[in-house]
Amino acid sequence: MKFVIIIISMVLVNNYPLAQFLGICPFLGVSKDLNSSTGMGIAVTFVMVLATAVTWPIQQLLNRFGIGYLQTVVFILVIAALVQLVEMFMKKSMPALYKSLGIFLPLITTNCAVLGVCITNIDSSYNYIESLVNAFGAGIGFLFAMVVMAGVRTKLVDQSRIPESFRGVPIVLITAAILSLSFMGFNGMFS
Amino acid sequence: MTKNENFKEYGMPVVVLVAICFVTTLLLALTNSVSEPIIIKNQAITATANRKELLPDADDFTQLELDKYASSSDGMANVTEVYKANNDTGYVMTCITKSFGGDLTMMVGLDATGAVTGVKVTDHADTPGVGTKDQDPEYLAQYISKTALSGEDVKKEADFNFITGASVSGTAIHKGVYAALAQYAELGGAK
Amino acid sequence: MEERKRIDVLLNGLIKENPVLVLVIGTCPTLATSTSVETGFGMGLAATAVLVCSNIVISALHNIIPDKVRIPCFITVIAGFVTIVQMLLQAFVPSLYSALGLYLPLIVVNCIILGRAEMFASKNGVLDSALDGIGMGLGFTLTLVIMGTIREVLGSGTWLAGDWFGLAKGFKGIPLLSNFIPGMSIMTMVPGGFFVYAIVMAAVHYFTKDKSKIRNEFGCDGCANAGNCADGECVQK
Repeated sequence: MKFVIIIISMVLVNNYPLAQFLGICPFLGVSKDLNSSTGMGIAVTFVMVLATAVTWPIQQLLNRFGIGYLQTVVFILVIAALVQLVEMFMKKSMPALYKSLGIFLPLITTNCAVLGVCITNIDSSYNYIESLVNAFGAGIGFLFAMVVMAGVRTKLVDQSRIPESFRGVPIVLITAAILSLSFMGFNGMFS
Repeated sequence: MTKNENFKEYGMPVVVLVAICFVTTLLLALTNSVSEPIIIKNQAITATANRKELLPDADDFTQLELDKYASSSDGMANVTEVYKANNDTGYVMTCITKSFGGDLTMMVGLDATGAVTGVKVTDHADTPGVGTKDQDPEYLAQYISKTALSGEDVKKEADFNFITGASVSGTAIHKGVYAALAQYAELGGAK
Repeated sequence: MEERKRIDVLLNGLIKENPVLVLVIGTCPTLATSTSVETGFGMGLAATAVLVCSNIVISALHNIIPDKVRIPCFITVIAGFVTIVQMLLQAFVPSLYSALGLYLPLIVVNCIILGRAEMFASKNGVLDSALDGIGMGLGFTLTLVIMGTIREVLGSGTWLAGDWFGLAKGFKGIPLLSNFIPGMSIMTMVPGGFFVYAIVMAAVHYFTKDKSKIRNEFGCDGCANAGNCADGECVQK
């Protein structure tokens, strides 16, 4: 039950791009059409779970030696190496998957949502399983936000007359504002 | 490829990266050795100041070493530290309770009659905005001079102005106060 | 480089290539920490410090660092400076440290810093890179302060409230609006962040309409990974 609550809260209440300001860059940049936003969302979910699976034990190791202050350096390096590794592995053994997901992988290293979820898991003192579930939930939440955003944006470009100054990025931000406003309705769902 | 070229191709990157990591670690260790004592000292000063704020009549505090600390019935909120005023005016307890974004640390002051003199949140990982509305002094002041709570459910508390949007952290704080009152009862009042 | 060009390098980041409003990078910390002038200003300064230091180190080392491990090396340097700033803030300005919270370690993945390392510092000299860092950092700070002002004044009715690095403990702020209307707290929350960002950017578009080429789409220019993005093919194209 606890896991279900974690996932639902990460998808709806604590949605990363729409309620926590994490992963905004890809959320705004890659949400132009449905295909690329789904691809990006799945890739992020995958890397988030993988990164959490690796960084959580590492933090325990750092704590044991009393060098917890190396957290940021170690985490970001591990994530960067991990992404590179996954990309190489995918390219070699799963070319079809690489074609649809692989192109998003290099963008993920500098996605603050991935590092954010790893650090949040440590800060919230989740145990290993909870951390993995939390990372999965965060990824799904990101995917969900991306898909919704892409849906709105496709309509936006085709069918509306937008004031000149608002064309491009500003109107996307306005869309995001309205989306996040509606997501605020989920606030206080769990008590 | 000659040996030299081989080294340039594969050896150099490794050497440079390792060297940079090494230097970074050294610098971090150095900064840490400078900043850590200050951080610990600051935390001690703020903690004492917070305790004084919650229990203004106290002159100074002594930490009590207890075998058993009180918790809320679901184990979400735990008393971790009990400080006794040296002039017997009361206690200040530190509780760690599970809130939305993770652990929430709070202090509860109790006077010699067992009434709450103040509640203060000292550390939290909640989303600023709605999630921290119930950390405002005005909200927390509602606990002042209560000697008992109706229960662990904040919504069942009479005459209580509860913040709907922040139910998780509101409940967390409520359970913390509940645990502190239980701890007080266990201590058998101020002696 | 001549003196004129140096000034250009410095001023570029402030207006013409403002990282947040024109290049559209570093959006997460911009939205998250512009809830008040104080947090925005603190975030801006912290990021500027990291940016200047990392730009200097990277431009000094760019001849030694092999191309293959370029990105990991940059990241390590940046992460090191971020952690140092984090520790110093925790020791000397604890109020700001707790106000920035998670977004402080996340400076590491702020695209502005890696982006400038990749695009400017690894190709230019130490002095120019330092100037570029200062310019970009100030551009970032300026935007954060503007957005912080709008959000704080509309959201809580006051301006410049905060501890200000311990200089003005518990300063309640200048009551610009709070005497007339209650604060619209939505402005300090998530939707307000997106909304104010959009308005500020639209204003910039409006006023620079004829003067410079405005960017209407997200592209690879500001992206730190443009170089190694899917073998040079950016997702955008």
